[in-house]
Amino acid sequence: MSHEESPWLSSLLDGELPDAERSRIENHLRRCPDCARELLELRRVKALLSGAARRPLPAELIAAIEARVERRPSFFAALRRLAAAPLVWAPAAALTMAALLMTFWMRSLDRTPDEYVPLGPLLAAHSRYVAESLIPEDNLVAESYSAPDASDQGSN
Amino acid sequence: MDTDPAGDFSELIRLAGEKAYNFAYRLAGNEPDARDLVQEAFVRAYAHFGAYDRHRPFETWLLRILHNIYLDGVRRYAHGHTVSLDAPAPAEETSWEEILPGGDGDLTAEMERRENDALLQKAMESVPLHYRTAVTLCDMEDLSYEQIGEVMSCPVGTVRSRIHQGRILIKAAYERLERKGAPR
Repeated sequence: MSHEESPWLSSLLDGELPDAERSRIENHLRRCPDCARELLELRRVKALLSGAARRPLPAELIAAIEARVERRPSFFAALRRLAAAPLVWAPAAALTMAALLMTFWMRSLDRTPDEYVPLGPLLAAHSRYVAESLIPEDNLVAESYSAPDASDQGSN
Repeated sequence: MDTDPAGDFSELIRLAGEKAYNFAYRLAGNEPDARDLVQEAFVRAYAHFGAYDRHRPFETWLLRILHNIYLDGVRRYAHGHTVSLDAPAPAEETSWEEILPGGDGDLTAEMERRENDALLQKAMESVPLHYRTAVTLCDMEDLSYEQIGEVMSCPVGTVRSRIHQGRILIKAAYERLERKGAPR
């Protein structure tokens, strides 16, 4: 039998057809004895397979799986165990901190002084100081007090 | 799985183990290989449990792992031997006394049941693997087409045709063996 509905008969049997398709196949089955017979045969095969002997999971197989699982923890389980162990965490944290400090120190050795000390403003201040220190004291006083006194001007 | 992963996993072994074991048996066709398959599948599932989507059924994920292990094994074996994925599985050599309860029931009925089961297994092993796998998952392990598609890494349309074709092939093989009076 090679009706186009034939491939859908197993899906009908398994309840795996959309409603519209199921109605179409069921209508066809009412008119087609060949397909109805095939459906019956498929149902028999399914019943034969469904009724086949089941094997219980052997107890020794369960034990063997459990033994292997306990010996070989998952990656995530290993992480969780690590997180729960302070004796492991404390040295790990200390080592991490030491490694970080070492890294910063090593990098600082590679820098030129300009990279970590802002010399520009310092040099400017130093130059100003040197320049001021070269001016005679009288001039400094004269410069400092040369601003006209408003009250004197007013009195003149 | 947050507090005692190994303990919780033991519960999953008991929940999904029987289904995995029966599926493995139908794939491999014998109990020693079925045991190895199930054991390896659970160990891999545990090792990669972080990748499991907990919104989906565990057994589907496990059966997919098991199916892939089986296919890998068949392909590896095929490198050194002339076999194909369509070849029947090795014949079952385990006695049915180990499988079925007996002793106090009707011996004739039990013998008949054993013979029918042996015949069915032989018929299944004579059809290509992808048909046998789809039919086994549907009729014996009661998975939906969508779940079977996940296990076999194929679309539902492919599952649909494999199940239909598989049933026709198994039926034909079963009837042929019945007529021949297949060796039990």
